[in-house]
Amino acid sequence: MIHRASPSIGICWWNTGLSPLSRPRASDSQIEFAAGTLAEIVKNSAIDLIALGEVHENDLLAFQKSLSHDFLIHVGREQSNGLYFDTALLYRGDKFKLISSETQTVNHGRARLKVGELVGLLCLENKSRLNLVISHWNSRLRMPDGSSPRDAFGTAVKKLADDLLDRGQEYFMVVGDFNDEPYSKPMAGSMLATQDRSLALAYKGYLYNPFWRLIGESTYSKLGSAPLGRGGTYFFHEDYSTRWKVFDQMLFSPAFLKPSQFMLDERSIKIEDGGSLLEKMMEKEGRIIDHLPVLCRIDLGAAYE
Amino acid sequence: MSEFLNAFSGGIRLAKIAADARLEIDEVFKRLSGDVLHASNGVIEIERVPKTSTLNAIYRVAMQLAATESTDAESIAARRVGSKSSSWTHLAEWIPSEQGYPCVVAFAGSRNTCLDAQALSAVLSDMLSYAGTGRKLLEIMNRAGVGASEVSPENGADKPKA
Repeated sequence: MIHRASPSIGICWWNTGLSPLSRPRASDSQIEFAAGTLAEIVKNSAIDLIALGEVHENDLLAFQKSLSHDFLIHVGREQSNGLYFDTALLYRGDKFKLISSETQTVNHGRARLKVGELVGLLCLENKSRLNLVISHWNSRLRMPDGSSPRDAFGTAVKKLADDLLDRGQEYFMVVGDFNDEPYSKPMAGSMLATQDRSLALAYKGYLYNPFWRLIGESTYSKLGSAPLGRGGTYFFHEDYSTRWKVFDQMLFSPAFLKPSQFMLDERSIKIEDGGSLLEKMMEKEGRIIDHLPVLCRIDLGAAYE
Repeated sequence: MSEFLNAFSGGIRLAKIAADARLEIDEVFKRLSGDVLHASNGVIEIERVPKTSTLNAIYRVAMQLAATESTDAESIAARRVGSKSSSWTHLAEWIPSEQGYPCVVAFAGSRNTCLDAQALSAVLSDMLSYAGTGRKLLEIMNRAGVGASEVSPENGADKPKA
């Protein structure tokens, strides 16, 4: 058995806030700021796949123009059975080939919910298939914590992961804004997205969620100084208890945790808060950016021979 | 021996729940098939069949060789009543669960997970009202010599011409 060392790929998820439900609301300067921010992230972190939320085609064209490499745009179906999807993917055409895409819904009684879009990508470097679900689950304002439809999100993702595994497709990632914390019932309970890596490796049916370790303040306070930090990926000014939430996460099937075609470099898991992103989020008037991007790196291995 | 009693009764209880759920799902499909049979003036039947039943022989062999899909994949498919078993037309992919729910109906680039009978009925209605499904059903009716003009939206098809 020969295993060749190979390069890696960078993946980013960002709910931009520019165009919720794909309805444009951002000014030119706000789009320009978002495009500039994304271009910096792509350059500094060598990003190859950019999954985006709350975007319109015009936002994507502006992003594409600002990026140094040639990124192709994939916009999933905007509407499916009365549901509006506002996610998209920018991907390096010299590194990936898009081979499939399918919207995912879950139906519970009269409730119909958008789970995400499953995108199948062929990695040209190692000739292996990567399944990526890009999710933007419903806001908690209309569907509060503990409501049973929220559990349905997790159940649907778990069913999808199990079905893909049954078909021999073991590389399955879910990225997105779940509007749920890593410890919430839909994530940790229904979806079995665990913080316990050994458990995910030992038993079939779990996903690994490394974002548990990113809950809490990013900086330490000392007497007399309280540096501006962040306590999550999403900031909600009006919240009465904790304004920071870790709603943006990346989840991995266990195959990413062992030497294989796609291996998660766990040290690369990151909430991007550089530049003036944090200041933008703290603005009280006229702000539309309320989420921070999240990043990861995947080491590529060749197929075992 | 008592250590296994709870596990045993738990398994039996879950098996009963799963059997009930599968019965409920069968009922939904029975209603779907009955309504379509009625609406198509007795021409079209809809069933869950192995996906291979909807493919011609060449595709069947290609699918097995490529091994891209499990050979036990299932379709929701339609055919003219009484035609030979190999002539099913694929309408949607059907992905059941051992426990009954969740089950999945995938069509038109959308995969729809259903958690109960009400949700399954709604998704199957969507499948029927999708233009691609309508086109396939119309083709079956045309082959049978029953045109779309003979189908009434409220009550199904009129009686066939003598």
